[in-house]
Amino acid sequence: MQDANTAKLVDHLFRHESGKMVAVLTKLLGFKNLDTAHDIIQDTLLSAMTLWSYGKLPENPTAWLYHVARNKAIDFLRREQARPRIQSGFSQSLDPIPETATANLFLETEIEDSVLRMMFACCHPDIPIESRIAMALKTLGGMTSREIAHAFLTSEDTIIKRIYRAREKIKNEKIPLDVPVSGALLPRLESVLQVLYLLFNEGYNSSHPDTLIRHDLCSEAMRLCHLLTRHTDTDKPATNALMALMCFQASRLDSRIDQHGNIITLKYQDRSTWNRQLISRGFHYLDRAAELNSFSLYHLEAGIASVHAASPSFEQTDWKAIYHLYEILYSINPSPVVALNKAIASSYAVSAQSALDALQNIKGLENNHLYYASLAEVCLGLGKNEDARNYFDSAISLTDSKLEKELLKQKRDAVDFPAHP
Amino acid sequence: MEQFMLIFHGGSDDAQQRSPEAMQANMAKWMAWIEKLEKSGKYVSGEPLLPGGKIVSGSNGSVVTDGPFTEGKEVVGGFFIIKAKDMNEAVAICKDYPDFQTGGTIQVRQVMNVNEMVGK
Repeated sequence: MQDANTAKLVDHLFRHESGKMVAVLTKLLGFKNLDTAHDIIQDTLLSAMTLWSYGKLPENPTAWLYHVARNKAIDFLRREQARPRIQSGFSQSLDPIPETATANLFLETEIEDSVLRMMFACCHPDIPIESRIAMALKTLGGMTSREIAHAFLTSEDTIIKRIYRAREKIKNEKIPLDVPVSGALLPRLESVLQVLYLLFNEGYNSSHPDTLIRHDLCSEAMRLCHLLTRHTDTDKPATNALMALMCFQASRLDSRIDQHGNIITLKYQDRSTWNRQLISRGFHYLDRAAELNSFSLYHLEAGIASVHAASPSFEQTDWKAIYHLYEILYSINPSPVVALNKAIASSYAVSAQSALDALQNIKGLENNHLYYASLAEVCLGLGKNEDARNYFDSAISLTDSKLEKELLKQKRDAVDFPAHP
Repeated sequence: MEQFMLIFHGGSDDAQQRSPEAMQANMAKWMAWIEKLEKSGKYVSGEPLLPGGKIVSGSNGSVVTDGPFTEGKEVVGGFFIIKAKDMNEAVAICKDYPDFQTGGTIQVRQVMNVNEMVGK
């Protein structure tokens, strides 16, 4: 009986449902009542926690949460309606809360619609990017400021300020809680996708000292992107390309860390542990992303990730294809990070010397540990052991991640005694 | 087997600030605790209590005041009735209480056993 109860509670039920409920209630109560929506949900979850803790788990926990939250929202609306009447002395009877406005509140379609609207408001291009990310995690991801601060290695105060700025912007600029239509859609969608992309990346390679991978951030990004692919208006090639990219990357998440918590690089990963289901989903979305005249950076990155995903081994990787994709990517987005990846690909596709030349020409990554780690690897390949050791040292001093430091130290110490000849 | 009442005081210090994730985690611990007690046949019943309440006193119960307590740590959040061989075992069962970290305490009271009194 209790076993069945516990099984009914899926992982992150509270977090995910709170995100959905915030979106639904904010649509009903208006953005100005976002705080109230958060309070109502906090109350609802607290009641659930207390009752369910004592074994009083309802048949359908999600429906129970929606029902209680809806009733609390109706109570709030009644009180709001009553207030001006008391102040101004009106004697006419109260308008009943229209049943239609709340009856369908938590229909599946209504939830998705509300979440999408909220997503577009939170990810408005006029809001600074860090604020967009924080706001999206808070309102849609059901995360607290403290949890967000922890994930992004910053202070709770900073996150609260970022969220505050986003909310003021939405309020003051009267950004509507709408999915934009026709011409306005694509640029706005781009801004939403950018947030999801950054969110996923932070989860994939966390800047946190103790955790390399933040599964929660990755799965939030994937959950929200999946929602976008299900909605006709937002089911665009770029959306599918981003989804494909995330599926391919996520397929390797569990293979990147060994049982002792150490990093395993691509070369040494056991490819049989890659998640085949996610890889095939990746190809499915990549197919859907292929459409005439539509091309995005996500297409290229997903393409690169798909080559890795399809390779039976590191040695059999089609590095020429990857190098070629990086060349196109660089021509569209000539950022130092793309240049770094292009150079790494060239060390396998062309030669170690060409990679070293390319790396030494990159400007703007003087504080990036991966840059020095790549230089070290390439120097090692060229037998420049002294340089390799120095570059590893620079990389070690530049990363905050304990796991990465550990891996880099092992590599540095192995320079003169290679474990893998 | 004797019956004991575990009365839970406080333990919700940070409840208003808890994240959805933290709430669910706390709930899962409670569920696991009850589950364990049920499996070993030691769980009889339990109920959570709403905060607030009244104290009735005076002759004829004419004095009604708000209560029972105002301080968070004094408020009874709920109770279990459990079976245990003796007080030691009842206290040992309390070790799994999930709310010690948030300032919760447990009062353990033995239920008077009528059968024993009359020597049955």
